Amino acid sequence: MVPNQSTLTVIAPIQGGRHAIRELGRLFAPLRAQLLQGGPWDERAPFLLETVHFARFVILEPARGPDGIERPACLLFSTQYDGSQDDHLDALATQAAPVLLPIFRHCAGFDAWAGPPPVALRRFLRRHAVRTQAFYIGARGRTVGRIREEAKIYVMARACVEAGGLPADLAARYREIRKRVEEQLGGPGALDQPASPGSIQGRLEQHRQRAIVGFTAYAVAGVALFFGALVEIGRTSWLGFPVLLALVAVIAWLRVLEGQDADALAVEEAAGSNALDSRGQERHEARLAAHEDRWQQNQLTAVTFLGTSPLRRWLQRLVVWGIDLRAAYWNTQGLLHGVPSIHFAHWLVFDRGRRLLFVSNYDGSWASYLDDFVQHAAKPLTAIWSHCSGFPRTRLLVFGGATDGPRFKRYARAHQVPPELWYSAYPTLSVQDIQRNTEVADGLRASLVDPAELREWFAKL
Amino acid sequence: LGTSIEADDVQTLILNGYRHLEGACFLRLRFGDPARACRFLSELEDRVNTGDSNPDRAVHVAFTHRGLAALGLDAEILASFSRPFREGMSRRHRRRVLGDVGENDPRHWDWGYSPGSEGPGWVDALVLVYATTDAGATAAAQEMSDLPGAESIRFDALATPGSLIRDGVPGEHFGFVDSIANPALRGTRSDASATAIAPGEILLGYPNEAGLLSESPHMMAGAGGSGSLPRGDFGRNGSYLVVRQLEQRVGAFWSYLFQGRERAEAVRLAAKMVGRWPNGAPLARWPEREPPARRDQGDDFGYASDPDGLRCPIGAHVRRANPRDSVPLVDGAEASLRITRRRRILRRGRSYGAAVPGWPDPAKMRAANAPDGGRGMHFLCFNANIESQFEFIQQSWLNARKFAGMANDADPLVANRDWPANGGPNDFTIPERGGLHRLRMLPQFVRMRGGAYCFMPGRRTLRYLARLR
Repeated sequence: MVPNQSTLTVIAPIQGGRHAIRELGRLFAPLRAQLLQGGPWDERAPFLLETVHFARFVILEPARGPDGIERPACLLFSTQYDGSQDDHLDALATQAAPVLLPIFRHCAGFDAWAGPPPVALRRFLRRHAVRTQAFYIGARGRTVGRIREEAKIYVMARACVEAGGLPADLAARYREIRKRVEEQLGGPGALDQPASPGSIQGRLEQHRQRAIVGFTAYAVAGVALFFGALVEIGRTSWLGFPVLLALVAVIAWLRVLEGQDADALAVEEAAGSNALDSRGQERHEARLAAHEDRWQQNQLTAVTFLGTSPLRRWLQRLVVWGIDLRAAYWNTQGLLHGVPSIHFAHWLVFDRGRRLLFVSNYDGSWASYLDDFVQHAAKPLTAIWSHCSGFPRTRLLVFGGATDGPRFKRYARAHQVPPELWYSAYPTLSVQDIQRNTEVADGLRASLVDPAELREWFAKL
Repeated sequence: LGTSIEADDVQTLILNGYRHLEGACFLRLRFGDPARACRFLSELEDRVNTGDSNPDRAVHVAFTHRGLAALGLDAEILASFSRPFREGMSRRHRRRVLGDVGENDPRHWDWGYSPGSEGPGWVDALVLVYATTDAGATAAAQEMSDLPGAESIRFDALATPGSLIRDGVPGEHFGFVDSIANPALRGTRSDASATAIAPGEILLGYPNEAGLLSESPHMMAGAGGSGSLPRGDFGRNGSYLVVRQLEQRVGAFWSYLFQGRERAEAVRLAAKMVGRWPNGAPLARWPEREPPARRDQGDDFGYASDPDGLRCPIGAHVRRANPRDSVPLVDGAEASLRITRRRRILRRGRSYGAAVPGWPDPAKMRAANAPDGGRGMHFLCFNANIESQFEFIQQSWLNARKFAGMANDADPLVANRDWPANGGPNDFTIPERGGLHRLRMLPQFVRMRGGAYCFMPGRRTLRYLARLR
């Protein structure tokens, strides 16, 4: 059985207005302090569960949407975890209940009388869990335990080399390191577990059907639309010219529609309560910054209102579905559209399809993360967010938009929501660290003998 | 969009590094009465050098956000400056961005920060004076306090001048040639170079490498005095100036390198850390030994042919600060160059304080055993976007422990090691044919002593400021 990582997002309205939000703040403060205190991260007790990679609580303030409707404040809880959702919910409802119960008590729909606490909590989590549209994993197929153990193995192997006194012969040197690491891990057999699974099978098996449908649909649509039209035009038949003309006319018409709709989106943005004055922006920025760069890793939570037009919402779904396919079957080696710094990222819509949520855990600074996106993935970004109010103007859905780096960054910043609490099970490891640690650990597990492989292995230390 | 620069409105320091002017004296100013400060500025404006020229004495001025506010600049214009400039270098979150924590914490700075908003450490403006000798620069700086209006201004010199420019070649206290690779701006005299970048990367209000106008503070059309500034562009022909006083621990540096090593090996290790030999020759080109001294140390090289860092370690100072054609985790030299061209800064740093006896000979410097402190580098750089240029380099390239997929390496020369949340003391990895050579737990060689984010205005804007009162 290939270990699988998943994500859970629970969104529920907060009951009791300002008072409840203050109460929640009081609950989060000591937890936050506990997560930020000094000491090596790998010696700390896990937060909530041993299977949780990342967890966060975010309070979404009351907001008025572009439709003029007032939304109540919501509590957002999101985890990225190992195993199945059922097991995860069970574990949360039992083991994590002491932390979660006092928090979710403040949410509408939490029925403390539904049964014993675990039952009530489980029912609540299940009822308010929102389906994920697209999910990306940076380091595939590795559990929290594995990531933390392989980090240890890497440090041990490195320490052996640095301590010196090893045989000069590569093979002998490797055997000595392997022996010492094995001893530190608890004796013979500690390195005998199977090497890490290939990164792709897990989800392929789970969603084989969807993959086939997805690829086929994409291929057929792409080939039919583009090549069909091009071949038709290229032919010297009498049809060529009119078809070309019609194509140009349709594109021009779509472009006009897009322009009009962009105006509508801009008006909608102004109508919503998202537009902050400069004082409000300052405060918002300060609150975001206060949570950032505490560790090597950072997090991002962004909420945007989708445009009111059904076509926009349908297009958004299509694009995010495409991203999910890509994330699941293409970007399996630690790069999402060329961006190397993402541990997990996911998209979903909530609020009856009216709001888009983006959640990610990434390496390094916000600025470098956003710049990576602008440099490598401006088109997919634009394709996703151009359906939201306030996004920089686009042309033909994928041009313009995020290519205006500074404007896109302002947009992203304005729609980002500061977390009340954010937890990482390995806050100082980068995606590359995890990747390399696995290779080093697998190299030890495999009992290498080939000189070329040995040289390669030593180069990784 | 034409890229020709209105050089006559640009302060000369942005166009000319003044290698022929070996002396420099930097003053920090605290304004008192705003009307008299403006009187002083109108006198100063006559003396400030603008245009692409080669003067034998030069005066320049730059302001902090609080300085502009103290002069009574309109709140709307003040709010239109970029965030890092408005917040200042010592804001709590910036400390984590810049690595100004632990020993480098603003609480320990000599200037640029005070607890409370009115403490003595704060800066309103910096006046930079250049002359052929340090004595000349100091004398010229003295004259500033005799100008009309100066009586209400408090002047403090940043640190003892101590030029290390020799025959037009700038040096620094560790004994290396400095300020070699600086971008040339298109539309200026020096733009013949193939590496010239769009002026909007440095100057405000010009097209940058992305083809967009660099963001610039502005005022609404019709606002008072807006007629004197074209299109209300308050920042045009100006630039953001980052100033950081970095103390260099020369004794600590060389005694660390000489530990159990011969001179040649110590120098080789130092060169691996820096990425250039003491005379400036890049390791990317001369990996084995220092070539004979040349006037032109060369800037036209890359790292693409050295992907594993066997010649110049990937973590070497100059390779981190400017990865050129091989940005880690980016495919291809073209894509890398596109990225690095958007991250350039224009450095105008100068050494301060007396050199260690025997400078620049490593063996003599080490033997001199002079106590550390009192010498270092006034790091000055211009950029149009502090966040995506200076701060990005500092945070994501120099101080990043995970740069290029490394486990716990930061810049071997300038990084802050006293930073527990970011992995604490860090290592330096030197890839070699037989495997890796790793220096563990490097000591801290450079310490932050003070700094500020400033705005160096064009002449028209300076004139506008002088007429505020």
